Amino acid sequence: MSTTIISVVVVYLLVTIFIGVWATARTKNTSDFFVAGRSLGMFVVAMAVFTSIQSGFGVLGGTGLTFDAGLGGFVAGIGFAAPLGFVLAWFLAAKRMWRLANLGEVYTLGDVVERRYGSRGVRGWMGVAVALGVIGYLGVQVQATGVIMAAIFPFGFTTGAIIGLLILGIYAVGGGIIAAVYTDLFQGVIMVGVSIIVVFLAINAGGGVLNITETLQGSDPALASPFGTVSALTIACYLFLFSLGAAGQPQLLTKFLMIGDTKELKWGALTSALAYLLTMLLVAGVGLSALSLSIRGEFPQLETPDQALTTFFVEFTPAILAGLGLAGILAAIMSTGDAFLNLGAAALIRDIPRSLNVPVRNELLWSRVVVALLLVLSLLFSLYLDTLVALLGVFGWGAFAAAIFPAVVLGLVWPRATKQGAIWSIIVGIVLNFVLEIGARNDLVLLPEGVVNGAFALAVAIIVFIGVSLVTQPREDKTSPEVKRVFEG
Amino acid sequence: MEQSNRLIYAFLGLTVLMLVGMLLSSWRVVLYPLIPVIGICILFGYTRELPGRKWPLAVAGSIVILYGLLFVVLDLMTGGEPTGRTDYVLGMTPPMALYIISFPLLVILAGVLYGLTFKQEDVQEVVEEKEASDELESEGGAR
Repeated sequence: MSTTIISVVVVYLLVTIFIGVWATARTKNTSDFFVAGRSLGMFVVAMAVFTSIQSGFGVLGGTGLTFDAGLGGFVAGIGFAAPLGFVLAWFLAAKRMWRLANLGEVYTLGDVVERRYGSRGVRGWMGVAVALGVIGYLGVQVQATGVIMAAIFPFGFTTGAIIGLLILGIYAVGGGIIAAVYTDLFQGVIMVGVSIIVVFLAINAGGGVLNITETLQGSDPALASPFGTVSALTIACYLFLFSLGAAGQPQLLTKFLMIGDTKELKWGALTSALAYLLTMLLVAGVGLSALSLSIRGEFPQLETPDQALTTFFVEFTPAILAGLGLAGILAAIMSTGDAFLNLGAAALIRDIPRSLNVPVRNELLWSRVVVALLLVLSLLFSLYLDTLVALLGVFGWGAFAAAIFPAVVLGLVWPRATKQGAIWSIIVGIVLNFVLEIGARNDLVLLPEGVVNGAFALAVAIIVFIGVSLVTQPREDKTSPEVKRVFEG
Repeated sequence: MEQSNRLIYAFLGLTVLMLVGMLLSSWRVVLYPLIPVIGICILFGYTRELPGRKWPLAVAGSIVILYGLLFVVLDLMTGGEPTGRTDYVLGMTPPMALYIISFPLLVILAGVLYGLTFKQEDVQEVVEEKEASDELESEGGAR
């Protein structure tokens, strides 16, 4: 790797460390650590929403899937549905979460559901769902960090992963969510800037849009179609899972608790959706251009499609841009990692202990300890239990969608929702995702071909949530007047 | 309350339909119910405005109709072959051009509509309520 590329990535890493040190000085209590003292503005929150959802899977994996199966591999379903999901999350939950946060000491999704349902049981199950997903997501981000660091610097996967995690630890342990959202802002600007520039280079490298289309059509007409070689059923499932499911992702929902002033909600949906869509230009442009170059024999042979983006940066862009591009990939990975470290600490230090009626005394101190422990654990898992990491990683999005969308989002818009409905939908969401994913990994396919497991689990969890709520209506409505105002939006 | 009940029952019915579509391997029975579900999600954002006002229905309806049109046209274009006709639009096959341009534009339109119809005073009331409730609590504590 050239000195210029390495220098650009080193500068990027130093800036993230600097932000971490600055944020640590500003983090004085639990509110600062989990919800940035409810002081954030629109642009910071919108960019943090975008970057925490746009992970290494979205950028590296998305380009690889597009390289493998055309636009339908990632962009047509997942890539377009997620930003629509951002907008729907704002319509459904933004004002309601903000109103709930005003009722005092609402820092986590566990706090939200306990306030909503008046039940520590729902808080506990929510904590378990978040903790399971966090371990999977973190393990995947650690593996991706190791791969990218090893590709840039002259050392192996393990050393790369350790150095990446040390840097993540420097800012996430001390600075909590303040460090996370401001590094997210910096990382988001890099990702969007690189995407806008590189998409033109990609189209140019492929010989123009028409040339790329004709090459793809000549190889397989489906590759020049909007759904690529992916079935329409799978695309429909992706559109369902990634639009509604986006509103069920904890790293998105908790950002509404951090907003300082109501007016900051106004343009956040548009800003975060636009930023995500701009990075889809990169994924679609590089994925399709690299595929057409590969068909013509003008692209290096790849061991796996996931190498398409890094190879394109190194072989087809100037060194400075390649450095920024690789820093952008690291940014996507680290910004998702920091969000999940914070969510993991919230689940393990606040939600689960409080659900058992044993609140932790010094939450700030112990949250920092747990963030450090989660970093070490996720490294050990990714090095020695990679099967578990892969399983929990796949489980992540679908399980969050099925466990959180009904209990939190539908629970905030529908006054008749009950704690029993919430608990059963969380349990069914987690169990169904696990069973379907484990079955699929052991050649036990339980659903028709093309149906996405997470989409099926989300649909079932929604039906269970509404159905169980309807049959467990309490004789007397004990919801407080303040919470009733939240339902109005 | 009545509005949110109606919306949630419609949401439930459409979700059941999507589940049936998955089990029957029919992408149309999954995709087409999803479009009104998007409209219902938008309407949930306007539950305070819904009684007596028609503009929330116009906002949600416009997004539903435009997404519906997009997928019906796409369905008709790709009925015979995946790439549609052999001519090109902006260097892409017509279905690819339609999808890659229209879908993101509709996402942006939905985001713009959220911003344009956002009413700050609705939420601002909460601040006043909270201050009033804090005052009451402190008065109670003083006694």
